[in-house]
Amino acid sequence: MNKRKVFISCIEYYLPDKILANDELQEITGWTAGKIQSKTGISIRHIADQDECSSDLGIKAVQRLFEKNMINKEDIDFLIFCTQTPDYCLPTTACIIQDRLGLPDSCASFDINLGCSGFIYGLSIASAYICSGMANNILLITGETYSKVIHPLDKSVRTIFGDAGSATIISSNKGIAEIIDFDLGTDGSGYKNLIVPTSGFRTPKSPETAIEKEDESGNIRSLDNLYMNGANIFTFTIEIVPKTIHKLLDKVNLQPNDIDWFIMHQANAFILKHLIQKLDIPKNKAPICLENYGNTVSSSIPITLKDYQEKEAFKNGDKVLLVGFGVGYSWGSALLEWNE
Amino acid sequence: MKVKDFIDKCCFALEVELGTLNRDSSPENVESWDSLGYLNIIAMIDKELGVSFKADELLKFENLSIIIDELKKMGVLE
Repeated sequence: MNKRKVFISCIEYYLPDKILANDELQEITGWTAGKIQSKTGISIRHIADQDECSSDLGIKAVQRLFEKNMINKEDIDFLIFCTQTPDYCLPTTACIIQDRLGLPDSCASFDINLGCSGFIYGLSIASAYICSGMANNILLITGETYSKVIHPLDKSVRTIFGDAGSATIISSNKGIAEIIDFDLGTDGSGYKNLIVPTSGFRTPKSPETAIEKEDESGNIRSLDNLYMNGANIFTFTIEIVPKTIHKLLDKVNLQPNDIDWFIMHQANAFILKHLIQKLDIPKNKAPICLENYGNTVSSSIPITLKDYQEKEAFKNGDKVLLVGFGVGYSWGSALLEWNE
Repeated sequence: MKVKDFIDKCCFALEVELGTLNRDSSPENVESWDSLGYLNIIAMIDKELGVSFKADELLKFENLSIIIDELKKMGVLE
């Protein structure tokens, strides 16, 4: 039996209006705005308003997607929402989004809790449903508001992360890119290196967990805030990204030279530049696309894909390799063939 | 790689003038050897010597001398 083909049909994204620029971060970092830019590759980040949640960002991305692509809501048979900052732990945010978008009640809806690998995992789940014949058109939404859990005086994360939402249709019909294959993986031993300790029920929030402490680098946070051990995340990344790329290439019988584009999760410029060197990839094949967004977690890959699609960078037949990696630790890579 | 060349590469990694660092150099006496400085050293060792230290391991190395001895034990420094 022939495997059913699966395509990415269209992508849109949404960025909140409020901007956090480097000059506002000079005081907490002790660096000039220029130095922050050169260290992180980031000039501005978009930050959600206090009453703006991950679902709101995702819904605005979907509305843009529906408007630009004349999509009939009745045709959407699955909705997957990827977030780690949901509107509620309970109920499922995807259900709220289904209602707010007016999607039919035949539309299956669920959340996935993944960060920087989330877009790849979302694509893999959507592909599996379509390949199995259970679905024809899947709406994959990413939405993240890490800013809500970042302490304003923690430069290690405040300089890096920005909020955003994205929306992608994955379909059995022809689209802009065919999804060819995946490699996925997990190493949960690294879970403490990117964590909001009181974000669930293991460590409930209390007056004690709200006590702010200063770390050895002068960052201030409490257990209610996002904590990132950047050095450990970095060492994990430089080990796992080459592995997942080579594993996927072996699976599809391709060599690194056969790949036209490496679209990596836009963690920060430091990590990306090191990966590009280590993988020996020509710089023009591996975009660094975070200057105006920051690290937008699960939205960074769809944002980069959309920006480069708009620049008409991808040509028909281009092989595009996507790699997501981070919190969990969790990672995934996907191979696309551009087919616009 | 020779130890002198390694120390020179550490100077680049920590963005200090060539000849500024020696075996006694440490986060205590090199201003740029902060958390980002550690990342630069990890990245340099990974790129130049193909050795991936875990970040926690590297943090235990109190000065350049200990890092050099560890890399010598691994056979990647002469």
